Amino acid sequence: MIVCHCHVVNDRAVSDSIERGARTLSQICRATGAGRDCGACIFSVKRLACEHESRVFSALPEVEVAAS
Amino acid sequence: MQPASPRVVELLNDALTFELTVTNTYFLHARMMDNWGLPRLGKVFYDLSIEEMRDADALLSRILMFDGHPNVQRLNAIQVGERPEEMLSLAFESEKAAVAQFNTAANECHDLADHGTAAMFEDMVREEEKHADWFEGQLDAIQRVGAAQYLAQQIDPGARPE
Repeated sequence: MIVCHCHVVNDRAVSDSIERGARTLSQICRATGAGRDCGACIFSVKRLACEHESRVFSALPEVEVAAS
Repeated sequence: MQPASPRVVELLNDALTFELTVTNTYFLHARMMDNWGLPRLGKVFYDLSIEEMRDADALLSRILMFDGHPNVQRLNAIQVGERPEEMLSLAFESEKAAVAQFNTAANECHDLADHGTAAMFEDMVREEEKHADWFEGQLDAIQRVGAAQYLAQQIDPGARPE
């Protein structure tokens, strides 16, 4: 299933990036290229990440470091 | 004409978003099926895409009748299958989601005493139920005869280039 249409990224690429160590939404996007253009797929990518590893992503941060 | 409540226009716009999303998805799926040499499945998706577009048209017209603004910019996430079986399964899930959404919308409209809009949602529920059932049947057939046998029936053997 293709989720990011700008960079043609499918659900397997998202899962693979998590398997390879991506732990935040931005790491997944950097690793796969998803969500880096129009951004419309961000919530689909997030849902896939949550479904893939609910343990690891039970508290998925939107960003790695919050602005202080 | 003013709606029973502004919520009615929101419900119509939510349904419009859904219909526009599936119109685009089915249209792309149709042409991908054609490209893979499965024109019979392609025709089904093409016809469904046009049907969903007609639903979008009816919703849009009703929003305008209520002096609301139809939102044609908003789309849900578009999920494109990479194999014919996956496309059928995504379509089945999306039709089931449509039935749930339109049933809820019909209920809300009845509560708001807008039975005209409720009836429209009810018609759409019956239509989407038929689509969901058809997709479910295709997935059952794949289970029974296997994907290869099923897909062999979707080829048009005598077709020539246009």
